[in-house]
Amino acid sequence: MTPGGAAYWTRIAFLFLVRSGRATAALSVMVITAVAALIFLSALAVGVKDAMLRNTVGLFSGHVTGYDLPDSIQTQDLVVQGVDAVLKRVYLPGVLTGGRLSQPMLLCGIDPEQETAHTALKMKISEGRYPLTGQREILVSRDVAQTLGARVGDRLRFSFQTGGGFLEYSVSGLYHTGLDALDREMAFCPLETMPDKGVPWSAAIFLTGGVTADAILNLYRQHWPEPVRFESWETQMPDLRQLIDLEAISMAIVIFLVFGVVAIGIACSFVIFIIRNMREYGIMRAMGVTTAEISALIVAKVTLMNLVACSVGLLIGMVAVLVVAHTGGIDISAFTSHNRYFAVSGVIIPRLTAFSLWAPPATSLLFSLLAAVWPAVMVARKKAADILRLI
Amino acid sequence: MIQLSHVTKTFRSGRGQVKAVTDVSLSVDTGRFAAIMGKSGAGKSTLLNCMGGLEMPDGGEILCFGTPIHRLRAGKLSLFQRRHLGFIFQRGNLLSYLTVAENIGMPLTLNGIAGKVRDDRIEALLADIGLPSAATALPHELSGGETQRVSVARAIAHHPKLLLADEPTANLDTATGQRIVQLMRDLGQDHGCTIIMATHDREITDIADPIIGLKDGQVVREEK
Ligand SMILES: Nc1ncnc2c1ncn2[C@@H]1O[C@H](COP(=O)(O)OP(=O)(O)OP(=O)(O)O)[C@@H](O)[C@H]1O
Ligand SMILES: [Mg+2]
Repeated sequence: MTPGGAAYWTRIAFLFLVRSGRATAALSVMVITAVAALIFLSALAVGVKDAMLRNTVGLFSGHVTGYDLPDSIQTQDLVVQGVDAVLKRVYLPGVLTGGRLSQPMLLCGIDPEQETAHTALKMKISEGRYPLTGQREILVSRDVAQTLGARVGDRLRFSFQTGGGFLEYSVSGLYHTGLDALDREMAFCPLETMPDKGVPWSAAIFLTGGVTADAILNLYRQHWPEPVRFESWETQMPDLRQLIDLEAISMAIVIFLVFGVVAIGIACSFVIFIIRNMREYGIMRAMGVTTAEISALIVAKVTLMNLVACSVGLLIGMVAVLVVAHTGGIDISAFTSHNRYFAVSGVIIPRLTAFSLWAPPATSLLFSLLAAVWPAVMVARKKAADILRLI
Repeated sequence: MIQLSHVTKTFRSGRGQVKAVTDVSLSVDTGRFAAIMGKSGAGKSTLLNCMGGLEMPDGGEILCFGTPIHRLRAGKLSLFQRRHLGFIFQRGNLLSYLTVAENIGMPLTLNGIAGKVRDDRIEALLADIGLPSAATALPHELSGGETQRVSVARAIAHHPKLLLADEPTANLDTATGQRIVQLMRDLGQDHGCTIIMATHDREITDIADPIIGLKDGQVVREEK
């Protein structure tokens, strides 16, 4: 190596990039665009996944469900770091009767204010409204109402299976979600209107964005052993789990292909960028610059350029993602209105993850360096005279 | 002293085998200004490239101040070239993205000459070649003659033992060409540099000694 070695060749590489202005600029624009676009695309893929989860989980169930909770545990006890809200629910089985028709039903006692604040079921009400706190009102699905021939304002009777007895409720509203579990077997009423049957309560736990259910699950399970049970949305909704995986795979294939195309584009551009200056490498060889030093110079050129272009691309990609995310995301509801996994809203909010931030610049750098191998080997293998004759 | 014995170089090309240099034996004493003359295609460049290690001969021996240059491995050859050799080609000698001073400075840096010594030497060379204010100019801002003057300065900046010039004046008018040759001789001989130059130019015969005539890859005469 030259005295002053790496620093000297880095300086030469820097001068080369600065003084080859136009070529450097053209190549930079390509790298910047590629990196920014890949970051946005990756963030969008994450956003689609988020949206599917948010939609399904946010409709009613929550990310984590706690079962068989005794009254000694309060909702506040379950609020830990990463938990957005804990909603108390009590389920009582029975039969709902309207006129001469009746249907087995699971009556779910809820806190209307909390529920409307944290779940999206309210958005699925097609007629009437949510039950009001303290009122003997019931929210049933459109399907159930149809079966029982009931309409908003009608009175329905709920006979409790546990311990007997019944209560009369007036129908406050009808909803339709498209999900069987909600549409066929459940009805909702304010918690305090239910008789106290001494049954354990259930908790619907909503997490803050980006927090994984597993972390919270572990914490809960340590604190409250059996018979209290906690389950994540993944166990409860294996179909959603699979759909998200499927979506992840197809998105991964798309991203892989796009990354591949971009990577090859970058590689080819870099080959041209380096080969353009072949004669100068021949001159250097004649001056006694070793092939190792020329390789170092080429690597320095490629790395410096990537460092700058990728940083700019990273910044632009990040800003684009943040701007879109903070201005309400991308609304694709026109395409999702009949998709039950987008039951709440068809808005996709791109989200940056570690992968979406490091993979695009890494791809660019990797393939630029790979592209540098061929010219570098060419410089090394050929005699200086042959290189000088090339151009 | 540069000694060539029975040097042969054959190229395989689209035209089949081309014997560019055939059994050339010659020697140039240290400190001399030798000219290799001959028509286009005579093998001048090939011979010069072999002497400088830019090309490997198929056969024969080349002793460059005692070093068998044709036998050096790539790394050793590079180190020998950077220390002891200087090259000037017909065109495109300078690195386009480095200033005149940076171009001249490269062989100095390669030989570990840095700081003030380096800067002073660059300044002195710029004065010698008559371009004292061109230090920060880029090659594309120079005329052809100026470019070759800078090339001369760069080729001898590190005080090489051997300066190889392959038709350095071919693209220039006669007067400018003569200045370049003069410059090579003046600057080179200050440091006892041996110069070997390939040329078609008849007028060189006044300065050069010896003059080696080349025809179809063979030495046809050696004068003086
Ligand atoms: N790399 C190569 N491949 C094939 N043939 C070559 C190669 N280099 C030189 N030659 C051939 O060898 C012969 C000598 O070439 P060379 O370049 O040495 O001549 P020259 O005397 O320098 O000519 P000029 O004055 O035109 O520069 C020519 O016939 C040329 O075509
Ligand atoms: Mg020639």
